[in-house]
Amino acid sequence: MHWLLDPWQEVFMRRAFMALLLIAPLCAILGCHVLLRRIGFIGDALAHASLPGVAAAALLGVNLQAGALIGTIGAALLIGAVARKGRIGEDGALMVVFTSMLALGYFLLSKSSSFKNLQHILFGSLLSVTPENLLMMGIATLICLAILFGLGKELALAAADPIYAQSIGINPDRLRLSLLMIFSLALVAGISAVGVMMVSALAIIPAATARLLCHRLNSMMAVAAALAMSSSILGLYCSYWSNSPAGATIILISSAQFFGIWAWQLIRNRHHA
Amino acid sequence: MILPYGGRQEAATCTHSHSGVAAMALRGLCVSYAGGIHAVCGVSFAVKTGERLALTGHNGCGKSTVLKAIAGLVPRTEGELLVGGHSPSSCRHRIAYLAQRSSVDWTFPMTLMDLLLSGRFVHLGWLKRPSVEDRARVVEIAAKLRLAPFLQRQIGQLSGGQQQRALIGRALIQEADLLLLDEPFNALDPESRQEMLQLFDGLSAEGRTLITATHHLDDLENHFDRQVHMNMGRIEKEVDLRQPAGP
Repeated sequence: MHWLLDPWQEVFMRRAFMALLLIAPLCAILGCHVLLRRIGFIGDALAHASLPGVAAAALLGVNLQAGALIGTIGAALLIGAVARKGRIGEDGALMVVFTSMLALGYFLLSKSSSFKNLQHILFGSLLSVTPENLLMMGIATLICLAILFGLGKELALAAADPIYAQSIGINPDRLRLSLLMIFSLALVAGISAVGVMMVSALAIIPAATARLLCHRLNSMMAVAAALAMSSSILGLYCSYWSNSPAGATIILISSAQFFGIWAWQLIRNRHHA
Repeated sequence: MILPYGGRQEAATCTHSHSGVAAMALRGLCVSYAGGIHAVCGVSFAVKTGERLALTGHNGCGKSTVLKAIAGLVPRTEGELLVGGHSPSSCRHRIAYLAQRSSVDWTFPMTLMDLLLSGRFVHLGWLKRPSVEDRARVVEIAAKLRLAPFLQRQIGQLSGGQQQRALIGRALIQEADLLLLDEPFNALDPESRQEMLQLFDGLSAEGRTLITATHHLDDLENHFDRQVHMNMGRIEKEVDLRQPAGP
C-alpha cells in the first residue's frame, strides 16, 4: 500500500491534489459547453492569446497571471467583435486573432529575459503550487461554476437552438461572450497548476469522452468532471512514481481514456452491425 | 422574482387580444440587409384570431424575412407591427417562431423533455428552473401530440414528423397564441405532412393564429383560410380560400 499512501506524506503532493480538485471539474464542465457550441478550438486559441499578456507583464515586472487575464479577455472580446461585425465567421476570427496574438507574444518574448517564468506559465508546475495559488483557484472556480450553473439553461438552449433562443429575447452573442470570459478566467486560474497550454486539453478531452457516452447535458457534465478527476489523480500518481511532468502525464491519461472508449464503442458497434 | 430576458420587460401589458382586434397587423413592412438592399418592402396584411394564413411564393421571395420581422429576429427598417393591438416588444412570450427544422442542432445532448421544457423559459427568465407544474404541463402536451412515449429520448432519435411536432409542442408549452411556421412541411413524408395539417386545424379551432410560410401549394384550400402570395419581396396577391371558387 506504500505506493498508494507515500505520495501524500509530501506537502507539495497534497497541494497539487487540491489544485486538481479545484481546476479539473471546472475545466471539464466548461469544456462541455465549449465543445457543444463547436468552438473547442477556442481553448487553444485563448491559451496562445494569453502569451502577449504574460510577456508584457514580465517585461513590465508586474503579476504574470494578471497579464494572462488581460491577454485572454482582450482576445475573447476581439474574437467576438471580429466574428460579429466581419464577414469571416467565428473560425476565421479565431485564426486571425490567435495567430496575431501568438506572433505578438513571441515578439515580446524575445525582448524578455525571464523566460523561465514564462515556461512556468505556459506549461505549469503542479508540484510547486502555493497556498495563494490555491486560494485564487478556489475563488475563480466558485465564480465560474456559479455563472455556468446560473446560465445553464440559457447556454444549452442558445447552443441547441439559437434562433428560438433569440426569438424569446436571449442574446446568443452576449452568452457566447460570457462563455469566452469564463474560459479566460479558468485559463488564468489553471496557469499555476497545469499551465495555459494544458488547461484547454483538460477542458476538451474529458468533455469529448463524456460526449461519446451521454445523451443529456447534465450527465455529460457529471461524467466529464469524473473523468477529469480520475485522470488527474492517476496522472499525479504516475508523475510521482515515474518522475515525469505532471501536466503532460495527466493529459496523456485523459487522451488514453478518450481513445479507449472511442475504440470500445467502435468495436461494439461493429459487433452489433 | 422573475428576471425577464431582453425585449419583454413590459410583458405584463401584453394581455390577450380583445375581440375585434387583429391577432397581428403589419403595415408597410420594409426590411433591408447590408448595403441597403430591400429583402421585403411595402408588405401589409393582418390576421384574425384563429385564422390560418399561408404565406406562399418562390424561394427567396421574402416569406421567411416577413416571419422573422414579426418574431423580432430581423430589424424593421420601415413599417408598423402590432400583436393583439400591442407593441411586439412586450408580446414576445405570445409569439412562437418555428424556424426550419435544420436550424436546430438535433445531435445536442438533450431529451425531448428538455426541448419541450425550454418552452417555459420565456416565462421563467434568468436563473429560475422549470417547476414540477412545468413538467406536468410538458407531459400533458406531449400526450396530446402523441409524443409521450418519447419524452426521455434524445431529440436526434425522433423522426422528422416527431421533431416537427416537438417544435409545435414547445410553442404550446410557451402558451403562444401566434405561431409563425417557416416551411414546416420540408423533408416530411406525405403521411407526416397530412398529420401536421390536421394538427394545424386543431390549433386553429383552439383559437391560435397560424402564419405558415410554405411553397407546398397542395391542400391549401382545405387547411388554410387565406393565402398571401409574395414575389420579389412584395405581396403579389391575396386569396380568400374560404370563398367558393367561381364558375
